[in-house]
Amino acid sequence: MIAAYPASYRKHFKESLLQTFDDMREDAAASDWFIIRDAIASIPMQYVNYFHETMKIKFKNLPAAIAGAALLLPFALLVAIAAPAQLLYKLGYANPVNVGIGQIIGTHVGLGTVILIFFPIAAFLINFVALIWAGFRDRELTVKQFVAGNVFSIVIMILGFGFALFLPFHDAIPCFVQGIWQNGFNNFLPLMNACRNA
Amino acid sequence: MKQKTPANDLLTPAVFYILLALSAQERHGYDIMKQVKTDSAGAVAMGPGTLYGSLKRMMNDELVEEVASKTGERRIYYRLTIKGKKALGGELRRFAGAVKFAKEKGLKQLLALRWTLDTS
Repeated sequence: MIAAYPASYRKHFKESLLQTFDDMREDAAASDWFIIRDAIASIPMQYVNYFHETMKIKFKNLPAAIAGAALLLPFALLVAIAAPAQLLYKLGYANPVNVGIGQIIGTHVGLGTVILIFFPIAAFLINFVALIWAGFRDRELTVKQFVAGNVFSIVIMILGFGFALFLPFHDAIPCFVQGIWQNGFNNFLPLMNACRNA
Repeated sequence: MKQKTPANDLLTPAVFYILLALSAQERHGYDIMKQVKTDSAGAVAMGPGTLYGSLKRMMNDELVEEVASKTGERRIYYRLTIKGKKALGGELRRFAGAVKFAKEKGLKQLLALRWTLDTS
């Protein structure tokens, strides 16, 4: 668990943390769950502090990143539900997505289109524009500083792009990945053609 | 413009209770954790990750400093700096002022005022 903390924090407090864990174990002072919960809460904070201290980063474009994340959330939830639902279906149970959410989206095609295509495109565009704007605004920054400061926005933009491609290519992508995995890039063009019709 | 520092700014509950725990004596990490829990009557229970994160920030703000153990233990002890003592003193004075104000106004009257504000 200590390994999950940033290096600077670990270097300074590793011995103290180990000593404290030992003390707590001797006293039976806290449950493992308390320590895990504390680590979950404190590790991200230490990384935020680490970026502030070492790279002097002030995170930018956070509103765009948050708006993008909110737009991607319904898609992510849908996929998160669909995957185990498909497993249930394979095990012989009724697919809850087909009888629930799938039915809603099936009968409201517009809603499905918005969630699965337009929301990710909107997330991509919002962050793309925000990044272009930030690029003009912060011209004095190095590439590394720019990427670090806008990391959330960049991640959401990439996810938005990936999610937007997911629906039209969701059958082709596994076929393509499997083809590359098995044969490398030797038969790249035939593979593209084969997977296009998958 | 007057720069805000922890010495004249409001302290977070974690920072306040750590300063309070160190006000009587130097303590090591686990000792601070226990004292904070006692002083806050269990309301602030911080784990090791949070504690050392707070101590790191407080050392950057020069509120506390590390001291080597006098008994030759491997533990690191922490103590208040002058700035830390001032910050704690300021916060305690603020609390004392609030208590004095509550006594003067009468607690019932204050609670009634709060109820009026909550419901308006």
